[in-house]
Order: sequence, then C-alpha cells, then structure tokens
Amino acid sequence: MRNRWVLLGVILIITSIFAAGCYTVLSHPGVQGEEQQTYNGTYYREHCTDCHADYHQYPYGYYYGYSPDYYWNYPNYGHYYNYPWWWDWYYGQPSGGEGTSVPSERIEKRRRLEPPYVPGGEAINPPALTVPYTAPAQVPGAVQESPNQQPQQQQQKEEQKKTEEGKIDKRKR
Amino acid sequence: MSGRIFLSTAFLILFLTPSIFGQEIDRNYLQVEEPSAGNFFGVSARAMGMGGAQIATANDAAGLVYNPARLTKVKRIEFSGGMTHQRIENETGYTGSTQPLSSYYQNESITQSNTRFSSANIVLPVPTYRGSLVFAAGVNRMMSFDHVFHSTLIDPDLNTIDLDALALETGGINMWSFGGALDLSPNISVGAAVNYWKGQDDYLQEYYIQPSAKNVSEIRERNQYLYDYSGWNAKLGLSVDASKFLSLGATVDFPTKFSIDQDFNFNYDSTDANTQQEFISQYEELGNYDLTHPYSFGLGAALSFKFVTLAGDVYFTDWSQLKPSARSGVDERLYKLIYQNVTRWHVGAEFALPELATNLRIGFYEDPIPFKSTYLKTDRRYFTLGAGFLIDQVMTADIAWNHGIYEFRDDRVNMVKESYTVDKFFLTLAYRL
Repeated sequence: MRNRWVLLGVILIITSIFAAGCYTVLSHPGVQGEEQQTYNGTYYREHCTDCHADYHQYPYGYYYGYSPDYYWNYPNYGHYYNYPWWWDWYYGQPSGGEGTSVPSERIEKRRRLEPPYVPGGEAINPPALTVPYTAPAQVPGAVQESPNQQPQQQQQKEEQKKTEEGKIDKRKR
Repeated sequence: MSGRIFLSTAFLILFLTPSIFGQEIDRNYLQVEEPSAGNFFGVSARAMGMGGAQIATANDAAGLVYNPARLTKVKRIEFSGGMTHQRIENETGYTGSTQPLSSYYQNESITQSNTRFSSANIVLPVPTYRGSLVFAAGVNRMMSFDHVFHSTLIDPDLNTIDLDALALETGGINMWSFGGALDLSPNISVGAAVNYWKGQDDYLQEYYIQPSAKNVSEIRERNQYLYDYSGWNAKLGLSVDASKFLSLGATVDFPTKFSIDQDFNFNYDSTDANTQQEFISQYEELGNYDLTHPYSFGLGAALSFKFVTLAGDVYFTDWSQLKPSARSGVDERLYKLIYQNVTRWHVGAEFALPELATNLRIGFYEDPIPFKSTYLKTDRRYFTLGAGFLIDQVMTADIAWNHGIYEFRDDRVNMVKESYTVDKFFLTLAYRL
C-alpha cells in the first residue's frame, strides 16, 4: 500500500512538471503572422534573429552543454554523443547525394542552419558558449544573447554575420 | 516456513569444530540470510570498467539503471545489449603450513563459471526544440546468485574424509525498466524509472558424513531451495552539470517489495553406526512470503578534464530495515539484529584517446556484505579495468574486467579460511541510429 502511494507521488510529480511546463520544449511556439510569410529565397526565417539574437549559435534551439572539447575536433564523437537524431530529418544529408533532387529551399535551410557534427561536415572549433538567457517576457523557446558572452563567441558571431552578408550580397548580384 | 532456515547435521557439526566457515556458516547461523540483500553485480561494460561510478557520468542506456536523469545526455536512438561471464573460485581450509589445532581441515578449492545475458535496452530521445526529453526501456540483470562452496574435513586417525559439504547456487534477478528524463534547465535534469524485478535463486546443499571410529552415523543429505522473486519499485534521479568540469548526481531507490515463492526439497538418508539401521526422509515444502527492501540513496560526482573523467559514487542502504511479511514466520527483529547499514562506494576514471576512437577505464569499488559477520576478514572489493571503442560513429563496443576477493576467517585461530576470488567480464554493444 505504501509503495502504491510512493508510485502515485512519482507519477504526480512527473505529470506536474509536464503540465506546468519547463525548460524543455518540444517545438517552437507559433509566431503570430508566421503562416502568412512565404519563403522569398533570400533568407530563410530572416526574422528569427529578431527574437533569437544568437540564432546561429543555437540552431534549432540547440544548446551545446558541457561536452568534452575533443568532440569538436573528432566529429565521430560529436556525431555519436551530441548530434540529435532528428537533425537528420531536419537538415538532411549535407550534400543531398548525387542524383537526388533537393528543393532549393531545403538547401538554403541547410546552409544557413547547419549545426556542428553534421555527418561529413568539417570539424570546427568549439565556440565558448554560455547558457542562453531567456527574458521572462519573451516567447517561450526564444533565446537571447547572454550579457556575459565570451570574446571568442562574439568574434565568431561577427565572422558568421559577415559570411552571411557576403552570401546575401553575392546572391543579389 | 520462513525465508532461509538451515539446520543440518553436517553444519551443526561444523559449528562444533574449532573453526567456523564464514559465509556458509554465517548464512546458516543467520537463519534469515537473504541473498538478494546487498547483491550488486553490475550492469554495462563502460560502467563496470569505471568501477561502477556512474551516477554523474552515465551517458548511455546504463543511465536507466544508475541514474535515470542522465538519460537526457543521449541524443540519438540507442539499442544496446550485453553479456557477462563470471568465474568464482572458493577456497576453504587452513592458511598456515601446518594444520591448526587439529588435523581436521583439508584445503579445498572449487570453481564455478557462468556466462549470462546481461542487458538489452532501448533509448528514445524525443525531438525537442530546446532541452531534452528521453524515454528508455530495457531489462538488466541486476543481481547474481551464482555462488559455490566446498569443504572437507578429514579423520586424523583413518585419514579419510569425515565430512564433505558442497553448496552450489545459481540464478539471478532481472530488472525490467521503463524510464524517462528531461532537462529542467540547461544544466539540470531529472529522471524516473519504474522497475519490475523478476528472477530465481536455485540453491543446493549436499553433505556427506562418513561413519568413523567415533560412532558417527553415515549421513547423506541433499537439500534444494528454489526461490522465485518478483517485485516492483521506482527510482528517481537528479543530474546537475555544475560547471564545465564538475557534474553531480543523486538517486533514490524506493523500497522494493518482493513476493517470494519458495519450494524446498529435503532428502535425508542416514545409517546408524551402531545398529546399521537406515533412516530415509524425503519431503517438500512450498511457501510464499513478502520481503521489502529498504530505501537506497546514491550520490555521485564527476570531474571532467581535457581527456580525463574522474568519477565517484556512494550508496547508503540500511539493510536492518529489511521488512518481512508476517506470514514469513520470521521475526522482523532478527533482521534488525543481524543486518546493518552499509555504504557501498565506487571510484573510476576514463581516459579518452580520440585519435584511436578508444577510451580506457580503471576503477575500484567496495561492496560491504549487508550482515554483521564475526568471521569477515576482507570485505568484497573489486579492481576494475575496461576499454571502449567507437566504431564508425554509430556503434560502441565496451569491455570490462572486474577482479575481486573476499575472505572469512576464524579470529580465534586465524588460520582457517573461506575465501572467494571473483572475476567478472562484461561486454556491451550499442548502436545509435
């Protein structure tokens, strides 16, 4: 009988965590007006950075956590331990494979949002990330730039921004 | 009929000898010896290569067993399975170059080997936008009853074997689990598992007492005890990544209420030394009783450096809180008198050689026996080694070797011993989609 109460307590705790909501969210909440937006071929979800200042550091809401640094230099470790399986669905294979017809929209998504540890991708250096700070008034799931970001991260962001701008400029030409 | 009550002539004779064999005699003397108490075998080759220290370091399906909260570290769908091989050697006799006190004791050794299925698990991370939500299910062999004992006493005058006592025990308890974990914050995770325990213990005792000039009757006794265990419990876990270098973990194992079906078969055959009259007795006893294991609390910490992870766990369990049901026929106070609070501790290290896609592991753990033994000389201590290989970024193969000893001696003569040398081998394969 006592065990049943304990079991009931455990189930209640778990249910209340889910019911009350928590840090873990399954999908990005709907953004008002998003349905009306159409892909224009220049920048996939160009308004994401309105809410997610560090969007490129946390693609698809990703948080790197405290992983051993060598995961970054040895992508086989990164892929096995840190690369979520559903990214395969979201990002697809990096090249799309010869002879396969991949919509240009999807290629664009990949290029813009390609996370670390993408199979076949090049090894990259770890950004010195900090825990994302979420302002209370923000939309759940939105990630804002942390005030104590380290110089390395800032520098990477600037470099990434320049790259993105360069790509857009080239496309415009 | 209660849990374990042994009153055999052969062991009573052993009681009367100047020395006493520890575990076997302890288990007879205790009368309520419970083999599932303090029975830690170990799951997962990675874990057991690191001395079983996993509360703050588990990063695979083993989290379901050691700390469900650590399941959040799994990002890919994982299928894993494992095997174990155990070799246990029992030695009895005397330790000096001459016989102690009398000429009764004979040096004996016996070995038992068992290869077992150990684990099968699946881990399913749910796609998340932020954080982690992971479910897992599996079966793991948590307890092992594999054990062996052999002892002989010789007659100093006739130089013949007076007593031959043999104990063979096999079996184990599997834990069927379903669990889940989620991130409460970027660095805090919680997890829970519901476990169904099911297993069997097959314990066989054989004695032979030869008639001698001392007018002892010839006795042959063969007793078989079958226990069928089943029970439920739950486990909660917490994991905190305090910094890039430090991880902490805590677990609570809720009490497991075992329902135990027992089937005893007694075969007794004696011939009176004087009258030569033969007496044969055969009977079977069936029974059922409940036994509740107490809470167990675990704490773990891990330090991670560039290529090295150091980990340590402690588990606190007060086995004196073993609680039998009224129908067991055993007074609960017996458990309180005989069993004790134990602290099991584990330490381990993992060294990464990423260029070779290999991890090397080393560890140590002490698993104190849960009852108060007068004859315990060396408690159960294990030294562990292991290695893990990452194959083609989708598969891991882990192996581990545990070497342990424990020994009982009679302090009064300090020469008569019952010692065990245990070697355990673990193999775990995992595939991530």
